[in-house]
Amino acid sequence: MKILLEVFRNSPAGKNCLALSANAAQVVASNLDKDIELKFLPLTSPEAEERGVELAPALVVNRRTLVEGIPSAEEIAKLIENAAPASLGIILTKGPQSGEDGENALDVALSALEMDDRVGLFLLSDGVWTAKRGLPGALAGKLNDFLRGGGQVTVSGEHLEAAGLGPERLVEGISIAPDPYDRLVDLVMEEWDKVVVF
Amino acid sequence: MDKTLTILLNRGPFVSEYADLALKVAIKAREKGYGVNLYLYVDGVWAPHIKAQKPFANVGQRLRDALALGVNVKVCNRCADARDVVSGDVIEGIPLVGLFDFTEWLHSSDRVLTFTG
Repeated sequence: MKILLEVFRNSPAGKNCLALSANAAQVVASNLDKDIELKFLPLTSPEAEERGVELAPALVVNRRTLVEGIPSAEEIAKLIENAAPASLGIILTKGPQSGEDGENALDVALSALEMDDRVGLFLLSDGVWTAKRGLPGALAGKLNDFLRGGGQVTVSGEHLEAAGLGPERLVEGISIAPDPYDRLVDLVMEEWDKVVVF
Repeated sequence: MDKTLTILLNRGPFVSEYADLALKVAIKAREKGYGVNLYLYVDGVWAPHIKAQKPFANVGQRLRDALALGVNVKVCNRCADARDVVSGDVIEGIPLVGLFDFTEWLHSSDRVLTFTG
């Protein structure tokens, strides 16, 4: 598992920024068995803006956990543990014609993939229409990006049948759950750490 | 298997598929051995109002099936009061409770699913 530590500093770096840098370097030195990348970045960097860093010194772990101030080496080690990638499940119950939910669900899914999370998308109820091949608009592109990025898509067989959508009419790379509730319960209870329903 | 799933249902029966989805997931999870809680919130309070037998598939029947399997079901009392739903109106064995019961379920559950439409 790759870990990214980003230390944001004033330029030139003052006492506090150097103290945080030293603590971060100590964590890297005492965890040589782990794949840790340590970056020192100025507050004016695009990364600072992307992570929402406004004050230095600040530390961001795996692009997701922001701590301002000077966490100790022990605290940084704990932050690394807590920022480990997770498995996220997204259940989409809305069709492409039912407003923004489909796109919002895929935006969340793509952001999570970018942060190295494992992400599963379950298309339930009218959500199955999202998997139809040849849909116009941005949604189809986002679904394609999600699949190419390693996202797993499962579609409810019961609702495909109700919609009259055969497997030949679906985007490639999607798995069909013949017993959708059985599969969904397994995913929710055993495979995903967190679940969001759209 | 001692994991627990809590489901929040905000939608009433017949208006959409959400009440059926919530009950189908609840029943399947219970059949697979998980602890299951179902909190009926906002228009979800209409689900246990369907008490009589019907000649077609309905949420009331699914709810009775879920209760028989051991799914814990509770109704939000303020949502019920707002709709003039009293305890005698709902399927027997389903208590009208405050929202704190839901927050307790949130704390004690491993997973939460929200069917809010």
